Formats: sequence, C-alpha cells, structure tokens
Amino acid sequence: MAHFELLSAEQHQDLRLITHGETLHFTPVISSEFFEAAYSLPIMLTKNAETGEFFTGVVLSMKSGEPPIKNLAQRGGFVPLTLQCHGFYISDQQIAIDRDNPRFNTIEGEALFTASRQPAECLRKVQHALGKLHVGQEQTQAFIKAMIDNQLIEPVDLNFSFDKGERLSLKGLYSISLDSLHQLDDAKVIEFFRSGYMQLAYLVAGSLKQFNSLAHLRNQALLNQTELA
Amino acid sequence: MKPIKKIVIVGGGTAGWLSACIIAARHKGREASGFSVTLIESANTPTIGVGEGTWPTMRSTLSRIGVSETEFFRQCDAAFKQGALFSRWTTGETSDAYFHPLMLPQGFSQVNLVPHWLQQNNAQNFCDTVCPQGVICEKGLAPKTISHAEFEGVANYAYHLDAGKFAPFLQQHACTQLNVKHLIADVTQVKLTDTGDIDKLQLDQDQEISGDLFIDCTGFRALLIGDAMQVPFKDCKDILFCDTALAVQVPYEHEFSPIATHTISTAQSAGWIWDIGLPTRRGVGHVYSSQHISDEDAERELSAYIGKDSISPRKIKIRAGHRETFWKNNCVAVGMSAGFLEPLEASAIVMIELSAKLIAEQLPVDREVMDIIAKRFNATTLYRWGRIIDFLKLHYVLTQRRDSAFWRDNLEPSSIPERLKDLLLLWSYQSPWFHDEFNQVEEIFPAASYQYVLYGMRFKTRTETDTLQNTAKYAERLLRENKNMTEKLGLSLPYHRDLIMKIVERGLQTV
Repeated sequence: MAHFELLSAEQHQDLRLITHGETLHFTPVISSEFFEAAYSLPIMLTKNAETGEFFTGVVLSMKSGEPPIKNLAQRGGFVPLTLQCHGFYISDQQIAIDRDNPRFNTIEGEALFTASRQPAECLRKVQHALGKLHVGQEQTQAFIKAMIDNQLIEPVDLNFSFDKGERLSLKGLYSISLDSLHQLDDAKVIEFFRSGYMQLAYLVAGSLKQFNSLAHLRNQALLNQTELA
Repeated sequence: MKPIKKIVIVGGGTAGWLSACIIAARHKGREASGFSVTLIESANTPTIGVGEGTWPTMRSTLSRIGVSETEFFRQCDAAFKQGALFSRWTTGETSDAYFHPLMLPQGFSQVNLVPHWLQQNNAQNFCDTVCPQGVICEKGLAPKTISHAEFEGVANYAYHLDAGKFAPFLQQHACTQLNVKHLIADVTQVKLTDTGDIDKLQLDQDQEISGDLFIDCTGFRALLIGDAMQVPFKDCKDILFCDTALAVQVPYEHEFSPIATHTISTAQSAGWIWDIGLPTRRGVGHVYSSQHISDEDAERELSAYIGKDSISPRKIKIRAGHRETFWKNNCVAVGMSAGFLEPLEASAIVMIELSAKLIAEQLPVDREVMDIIAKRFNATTLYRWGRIIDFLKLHYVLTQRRDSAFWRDNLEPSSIPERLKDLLLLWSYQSPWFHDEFNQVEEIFPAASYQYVLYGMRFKTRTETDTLQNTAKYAERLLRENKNMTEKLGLSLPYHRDLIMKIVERGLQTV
C-alpha cells in the first residue's frame, strides 16, 4: 500500500534518498528522452492495462523481476526520468512522496534537505526531473496520437531462445512500422519532419535493434552463471 | 456482352445495408469503371429488426467493411455474445442447463475429446471439461480486455446488438465511406425483359431505375424474388413448429446491473424464451407453436418468466421456410426474402453475411456467366438452409421432455429430416468430428457445435476403450491445460459491463 505525504522540510528533515531505486523491466519514457535512450535500449509502445491507451517506455530487462541487463555505463549514464522520480508525485503543484517506497529511509543515501532546511542537490535534481516529466508527458501523448492517427503503430513479435534452452517471448509490445512510415504522403512527411515527429519515429523504429544486444548480454550472463555453478 | 456493374438493392433493413456494405467494400475502387451499388429504401415499410444476436463471423465482416468496433459499440448498443445457455431443454427441470460456447474444444483439430470425456462418466459437464468459455459466461466476464485491439480477444465472441440501430449505423458507413447511393422510394412495378430478367424498377415519383443485378432485401414481402420472379416458398413447419413470437424489452434494475454475455434460451411448454442482454436493456421474447399453445397462454408464460404481470408484447408471425431457389436470372434474395427460421441459434444475420459475401466474391463479370454463378450460389445456399434446419431440429429431438404435446410431437419420426436421422444413428457409435458429414467450405455449424449440443443434452455415444489409447496422453494434457486456462481467464478478464463502459468511454485501439 502506498502512503502519501506532502514533502516538507519540517517533516522530512532527516529523510534520505537512495539514488538508484528499484527498476522496472519496462519503464515509461517521454519523447525528449528518446534521443538518449535509443542508443542503448529498445523504445517500445505498450498499452495501459486499465485504459488501453498507448504509452512509450524502454525495456531494461527481458523478464519481470530481473535486474537491468545493461548497467549505467552500458546505458551511457541514461536513467529514465520516471526512475529518477520514483516515489515522488506532483499533487496540486506540490511534491508528494510515497513513504512506503523503499528509496526513502533515514540511514542510507543522500539527505533530501540541507541543515538549513533547503532542498539538497538530490532533491533539486528530482524537482527538475518532475518538471520535465510533467511537460513531456503531454508532448509524448501528442506524438503517440499522431502515430495512431496515421496508422503507424504495429505489434511486434519478440521471441528469443537462449543457449541454455530457455525461450522467452515478450508480449504486448508495439513499435513504429517503417513500411507504413514510408507510405506517408508528401505533405505528411514534411509536417512530421518539421514537427520533429519523423526523427522520433525513426528513433523508436531503429531502437528495436537494441534487443539484439540485450539478448546477447543476457545470454552471456546466463552462461557465466552456469560456469560459476 | 453485358457487363455486371450496376447493383441495385431493394430494402433498407439489416439485410439491405449489410449486403450493400459487403458488396461495396469488396469492389471499392471500381467506381471509375462504372461500378455502383444503389439501395432503394421505402419510406413506408417499417423494418422488423430480426435477430439481435450475431455469430463470430460478424467480427471479420465488420472489420472487412471498414467500420470501427468502438463505434459499433457506441452506436448500436452492442454487447459481447459468447454463446448460448440452454435451460430446461433436456429434462425440463429448473436445474437442467448446458452451454453452447463459441470456442472450440481444446486441441480440436488434433484430437477429438468427446470419447475421452465420455469415459469420465459425467465427472464434469462436457463444455467445462473441454473449453473455458462456459465458466467465463457464468462469471459474467468479457471475452477480452481494454488492451486488446479491435476485433481481437482471448475468447471467441460474437455480438448482441440493437437491430434498430444497426441498420442506420451501416447506412451511415455505406453512404459516407463506401459510395453507396441511397434512394428513398417505393417500388411500384418490376419490369421484366423477354428473357425474364429484371429490366427496370418503376418507382413512385415517376422515376425508373435500371440495373444489372437486383438484390431482394424486402423481407417477408419478397417483392422481387416472390412477386416478380415467382420463385415458390418452401415451408418447413412440418419440421420446426414455432410460428409465432412475442417480444418485449425489459429494463435493468439499475444502470450497473450485470449484462449476460450469452443468449439465455429457456424451454417452455410449447416453445422457448430468448433473453438477450444489451447494455441499455434486455430483449426478451417467447417463440412458440400456435398449434400447441394459445397466444394468451404463451403471454402468460412470458410474463411469468419476466416476473411482471402486464407486459404488452409485440406479436410477430414467423413463416418458417425458405425459397426453392435464391438466385434466379439477375435477381438474388438475401435476408428474410430468402427465408427465415425461428431465432434459435441466431442464424438470420449470419445467413445475410454469408450470402452477401458469396455474391460479392463471385460477382459475375458478365451476364453471360451469371447463370453459372447463380447455380453455385443456389447449391451452397440450399445446403446451408438444410444444415440450419437439421441443427435447429437437433435441439428438439434430443429432449427427454414428454410433458407436453409440443415436445412429444417434435419426436415424431415424420418430422425429422432423413439426413439428421442417419447422423443420429451414426453418432450413437462415433461422435461428430472431422468426418465426412461436415465437409463444406464455410460449413455453417462446425462439428464442435454438434458436440456441444449433443453432449450438453446427454446424448449417448458408445466408446470402445481400446481405440483411445493412442490419444489418451495428449487428451489428458489438453484437459489439464483447459483447467489452467479456465482458472487464468477467470482471474484476468474484466466484467462484461465494465469493459463495455470502458470501450464506450475510451475506445479500443485498432492494433
């Protein structure tokens, strides 16, 4: 159960934050993150189970519960904004936190506030990230809507077999169809080019190739485990 | 040479608009070469609005004509239909009920599970042993989630819909997206050529319309196929006795009452009552044999079922049967002008879909070859009507009820088609599966449907234990998988009404 509190220096003077909290195997990203994300991770679309609406995210691991396949260095230092903000929420222009999120404690990590009850460096970063997310979500939704309206989204079948015999198939993931993109009429192409959507669309479509390196790394890790055992 | 380019449809009900959409969608892009579909609708004839139930074929039909499933739900008050529950058909007791679901038994194309189930001696009913859908229906769950794309799902499904809203919905699509021309006029005279083809239709307001192929969708009136072409009607009330229906609409208790996701069919003393759940209301009706019960008593049984004293139902006469042929010269009948049987198993709309699809796909290029296509069309369509009659009759001949003349008379050998008699004898030794009895492309009822009805109604088929050894292991695995799947779906699927509300509010994605 979540336990929300509005963040305040008085109440949370002693609270500390673990910089890298838990990671989800599929983590939402906004369109301004595509540039950084696409160089190391697949950017995919999936549907919100409650509403059926599409959202974009990066695949960090190939099976839920497993740690990210690529470490921070292999990701070129990329940490999705939603992970940076994990445990933090915006409520009526104020920041709220979920006290039950394991990132928060009073022993480990960095203090949220300075001795003079000012936001510390780590909190300022979170504030900044929250601001970017807030603006970026709307832009991302507009981009996704343009992709839907022009029938550019297609489901992708992802099946992997690993040397140790395991087979994985990832369900419910969608990408942008290059075939459909190439069939857009000229006016649309120019519109998408000027708005930057064309580049975003190519980033999403191109990032699909990152599954190769994810699968390769996971395969290696599984083989190494066997050798150790 | 007389190319077939101008299609004229008469009648603006479900049959007319569905045919118009199916044909126009299939031939989209041919307008430049003179191809056109025109629908003439009378301003004066009210449509009957038969059949609020479809078959799963409607999913591909809607998808192919290019309508959105979301819009269909929004505008036609549609709901999901996952099969039918037959109550009191076997013994007549209140506890007597079985499902005819729309999903095939597990591994149906690989192994016939019937003999394996029979060996278990009724440990569990047939439907729940071989497929998860009966349980999904009992729990009132939808066949899909909001994350499934339009027309996709985890469980097979068809629709319940408001027929009064369906025709206008199709009309809108036909006229705005598929270039179908719409004329509101009465046909006052059908003019024939020397060879007996329809040449022109005389309309009121001094208008005439010519065409290359005329499609009769005028319902029971059968204006073209009957009046003009003089094709006789083949009655089948000697097999299927129901000839009258009383229909009412029943409101829900409150706006969040659960919606049944299957047709509920409850046998009465001289017929049966349908109960179809739409999001807005239930459609309930009693269909019966007027030879066996008076209208007053039939109404009494209906009001007892609904639990209300005065119901003032609408009375509809049914003439069970079909035309002797369906396509004559350049005139073809689709819908009730071609035939109608009682609403059991919702065969009305699916026959429209199949006939229109056949016309659209095999549309003769030239008048010279039309008779060849017509001959094929007639053979296929006659075969289909025959199989529907057999399948509907099956529900009546498997009964153990002897409590009224209606049920006893249904067992009269003279009322049972010969083909069905043979099959019943055959099935007492081997269960229906992929044998020769169902060998047609687009067979109207698959062998699985016969299995569900036969074994839902406790039909006995002998099984030779030693013939089962080869498939025993595989069958065991399928039954186990079915159990797991039933459990999993029971936990993951949303409630039927909740999903419909979500679809109406947010829409389904197209991928």
